[in-house]
Amino acid sequence: MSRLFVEQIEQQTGTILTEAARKIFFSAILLHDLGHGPFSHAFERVSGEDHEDRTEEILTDEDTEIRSILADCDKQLPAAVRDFQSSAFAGSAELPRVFKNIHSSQLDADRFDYLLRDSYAAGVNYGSFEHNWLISHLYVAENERLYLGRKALLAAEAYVFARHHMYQIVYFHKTTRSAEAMFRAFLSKYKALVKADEDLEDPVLKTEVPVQIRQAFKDDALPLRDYLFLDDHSMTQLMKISEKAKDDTFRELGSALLNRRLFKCVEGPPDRETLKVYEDRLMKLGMDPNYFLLEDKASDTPYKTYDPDSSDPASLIMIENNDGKLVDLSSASEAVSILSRKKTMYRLYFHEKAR
Amino acid sequence: MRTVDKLQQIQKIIATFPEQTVVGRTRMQKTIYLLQRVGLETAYEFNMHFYGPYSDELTTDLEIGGASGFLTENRSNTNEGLPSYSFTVHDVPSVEIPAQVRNFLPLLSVQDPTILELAATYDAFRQKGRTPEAALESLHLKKGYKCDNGRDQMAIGLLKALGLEA
Repeated sequence: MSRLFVEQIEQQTGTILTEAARKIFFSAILLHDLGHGPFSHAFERVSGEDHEDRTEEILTDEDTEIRSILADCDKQLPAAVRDFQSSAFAGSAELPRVFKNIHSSQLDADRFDYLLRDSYAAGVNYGSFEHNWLISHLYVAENERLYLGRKALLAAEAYVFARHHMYQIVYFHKTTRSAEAMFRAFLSKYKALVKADEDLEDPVLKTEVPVQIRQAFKDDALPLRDYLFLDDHSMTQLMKISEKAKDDTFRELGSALLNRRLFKCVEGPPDRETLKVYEDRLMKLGMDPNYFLLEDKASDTPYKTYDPDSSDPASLIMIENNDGKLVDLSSASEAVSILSRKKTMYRLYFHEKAR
Repeated sequence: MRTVDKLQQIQKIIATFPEQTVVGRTRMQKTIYLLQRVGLETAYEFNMHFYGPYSDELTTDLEIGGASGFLTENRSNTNEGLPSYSFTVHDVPSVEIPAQVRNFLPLLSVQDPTILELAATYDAFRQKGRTPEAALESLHLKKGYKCDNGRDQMAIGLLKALGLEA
């Protein structure tokens, strides 16, 4: 996808990227999610890891395989990729700022790619949009920002709607959110056991859980080598081990995840009475509401206008209006304007026995 | 702490502001950040953003609170055409907030938002382990002109007044 963007920019500006710049740009695009831990953000929220910091560390550490591969290609490449990925990157002689827009903005290659890919993988068409038409109407403004030509207005609207629909229908689906909330509860329980060293009193957890997994939930910083050991499989392994654990809560959470006994849910708004009903039911069953009654909150803003606290003002999608002026997409399209407000979701997930 | 409890704490805090209204998302974010530092138990996770420490969960909760009647979020446009937000409460819950937090509300409610922003940002740098000198240097680098006219020192003075190590 990013190659299509680059081809369009080169064609439109008449400037061809040097071979060295291409290596930096495409390496940065390919490696932008390099530092993610197992199961991505769900793991991060419990462990406190930051994938952007880890990405930088992987590109900097002399011992990583990725860094060696990049350095074999060009000694300066690891540092150049790291610098390009930084939010502070403001462009260079060989890689103008517009390429940072392709890497990270509301109109970046990653969004184009994941909407189409996830739509296909989920077996739906909600994430489809006219990406070829949009890319072929991309131009570079004097301030080195990307903008869309006027003929792309409807395709741009469809793109924002595609993203909105994918969030509401696929990414916020109650079943996947249930599994994710349960996974966080599972890791939180393990973390609590580790912090109190209670896992060491359980022969199964003490002998079967790899030391790197345990270390990930201790307060001490996890060495990079150990962090790289962690992947989705190691978390699945922890679930399998948990089925033999002494702790009832940990065992049940792991077993429920492995055997797809996903928590049920009620939709918001948050209120104390509903919480109390389920807390009481769980208490009667001897189940800890902190782990078997889970709040799930999510939000998404389909199109972000200027928001001084949470987004890069420079990531607006600019489009040419009928007078030839460049304007923010939300002011050119009433439909997009409506989608520039945050959409929130609140659900309460509970163990099926509390139904 | 459950969302409903967090929202009631926020309601109570907003109620102490003039006209039971907090004007501006930056003010709201930085006020909650600083109150958490002195003992508010809402436990929002803050990450560094353009205007300093920012909690996405807090923003989500404010939206949920607005949609479910805990507070009213008003949106208007500034003279520059940029969106501006304020948060108002009409009902004040009977919940208590810790005394060490309550005592600082009068001080925070009259602060200029830029001072709040500088104080929260400097504190976040300190929390990342930077020395006072390094934190100040980072603050100047990140905030530029906003630190002029002694505002950086006013921000540090605010942190000291809150009993935080500056």
